[in-house]
Amino acid sequence: MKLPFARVAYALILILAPAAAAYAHPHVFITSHVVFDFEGTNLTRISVSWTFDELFSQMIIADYDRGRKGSFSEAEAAELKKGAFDNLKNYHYFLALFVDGKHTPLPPIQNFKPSIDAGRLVYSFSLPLQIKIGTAGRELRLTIYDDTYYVAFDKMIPAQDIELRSGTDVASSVSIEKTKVKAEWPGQFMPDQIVLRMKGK
Amino acid sequence: MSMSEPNSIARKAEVVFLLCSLVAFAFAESPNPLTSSGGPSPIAAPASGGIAALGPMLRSMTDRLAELAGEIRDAKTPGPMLALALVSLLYGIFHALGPGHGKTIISTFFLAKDAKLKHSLIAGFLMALIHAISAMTIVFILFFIVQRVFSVGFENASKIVQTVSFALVALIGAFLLIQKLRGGAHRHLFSLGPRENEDLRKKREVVKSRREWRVGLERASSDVTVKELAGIALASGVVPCPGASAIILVCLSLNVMLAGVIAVAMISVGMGVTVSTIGAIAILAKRGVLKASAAKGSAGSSLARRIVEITGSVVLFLFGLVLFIAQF
Repeated sequence: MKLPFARVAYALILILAPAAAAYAHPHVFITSHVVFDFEGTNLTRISVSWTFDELFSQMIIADYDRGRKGSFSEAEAAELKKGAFDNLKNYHYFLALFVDGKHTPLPPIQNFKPSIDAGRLVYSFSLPLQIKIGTAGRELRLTIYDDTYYVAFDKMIPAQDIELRSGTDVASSVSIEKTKVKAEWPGQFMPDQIVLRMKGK
Repeated sequence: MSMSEPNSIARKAEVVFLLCSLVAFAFAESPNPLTSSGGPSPIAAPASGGIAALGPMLRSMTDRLAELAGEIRDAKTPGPMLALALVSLLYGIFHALGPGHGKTIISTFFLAKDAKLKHSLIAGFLMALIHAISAMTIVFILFFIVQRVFSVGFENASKIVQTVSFALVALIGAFLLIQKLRGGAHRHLFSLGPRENEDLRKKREVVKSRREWRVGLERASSDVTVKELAGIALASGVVPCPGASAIILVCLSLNVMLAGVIAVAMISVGMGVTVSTIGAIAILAKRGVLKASAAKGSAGSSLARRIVEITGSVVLFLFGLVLFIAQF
C-alpha cells in the first residue's frame, strides 16, 4: 500500500522541526583572505582580512562612518575597534592555529584596521609569528570559524583567498582540508581549514 | 499492509516531536560575538552541517535586504519596495526556524494547555505584532534619542529585554504548573479525575469511535485564556531579532523609514508564520499522543494527558529560569 504523502510529510515535519531549531544559524557572513609572510626560513606573519556581508557592513558603517564619507577616521577606527572587534578575544578571534599538530595559542593581534571597500566593511589584522622552518618541513593548520555560528565564513578557495609570500628560502604549498579541530558538540558544523606545508631549501 | 500504518508513522513522529522539541527548542540564540560584551552563552545552540547548507541562501537574503534598502532610496517604481517585502517575509520564515524566536514558549505552552488550532494562529500573529512594535521602538529610541553607537546599544538593550522576557516565561511556566498540579486539567472533556462532573462523564461515554474522538477533541472546551495568549506572545515576541533591527537601522540611515517599517513588519509576519506552525504542530502532536493513549483505556489517556501537560509546564518554567539565571 502506498503511504499517503500528506501523512509522511507531516511525520517528516514533526521530526525535522526540532532538529532545525536545535542548531544555530548565522546572522553575519564573512569572506576571508589570508596572507602568509616569510622572511628567510621563518614564517613571520599571518595577515587576515575579512569582508563582511552587506547588511552587517551597512549597520557598522552607519554607526562609525559619520557623514558617510566612505572611510573611517583614526578616532572612528579606534571606536569601532572597541565596539565591534575587541570582544572577539572571548571568541579566540575566530581563529584556531595548530603547528605540527599542536594547538598553538594566538599571538597578540596587531595592526587592526577597518576600511570600506565597494560599500563593504573590511577588517584587516595580523598575527606576528616566529616559526623556523628546517629541511625536515613543518605543517601549519589554520581554521577560521565561530563556535556559536552567529558568524559564518565563506568556503575558501586557495587560488583566490590565500596568498603565500615565501621568498626563495622556503618551499611551501597550501590546501584546504577537513579541519582537525575537535567539535564541541555531536554534529557540530566545522568549516574546512587552511593547511600550509613548508620546507626549508 | 494495514490501513493503520500511515497513522502509526504519524503517531511515532508525534511522540518524537514531543520529546525532541522539549530539548531542542530550549537552546538560546547567541549574542553577536562582534558587538556584544562577554563570551558565548553556555546554553547557545550549536552549529550543524544541515543548517550550514542553508548558509548561502541566508547570506543572499541578508545581502539582498541591504541592497534593496539602497535601491528603494533611488527608485521611482514600487518594485524594490515589493521585493523588500517579499524577501523580508521569507527571511522571517526561515530565520525563525533557528534557535530562539519563541518556539519553546509557544510549543510548551500548547503542550501544557488544551488549545485549539486557532490559538496557535492568534499566538503567532500576536507575537509578530509585539515583535514588530518592540524592534521598531528599540531601534527608534537608539537612533533618534540615544544617538550613540547603535550596534552596541542594541546588544545592551536586547540583553535587558531578553532578561525580562525570560523572567516572564518562568512566571508563566510556574503559573501553568501550579494550575496543572491543582487539577486544572480535570476541567476538560476527556480527562478523568476526581472532580470530573457527571455531565462530562456522560458526554465522554458517547464519544467512542476514533472519528468521534477526533470530533470530540475539536469540540472540547479550551482552557486557554486571552491573558495567557497575550503573555506568551509578549514573552516570545518582545526580544527583537538582530536581523530585523539591522535592516530598520540601515533604512533609517538611508532616509527610507517606510521601507524599514515594511521590512520589520514582514519579517515579523514571517516569524509569526513559523511560530504559529510550530504551535499548531505541538497542538496536533499532543492530540495524536492522547488519541493513541485513549486506545489503551481512559486511565491511560488521563495519565498521558497529565504527563504531557505537567512536562510542558515544567519545561517552560525551567527554560525561563535557566535562561534568566544565565543572563547574569
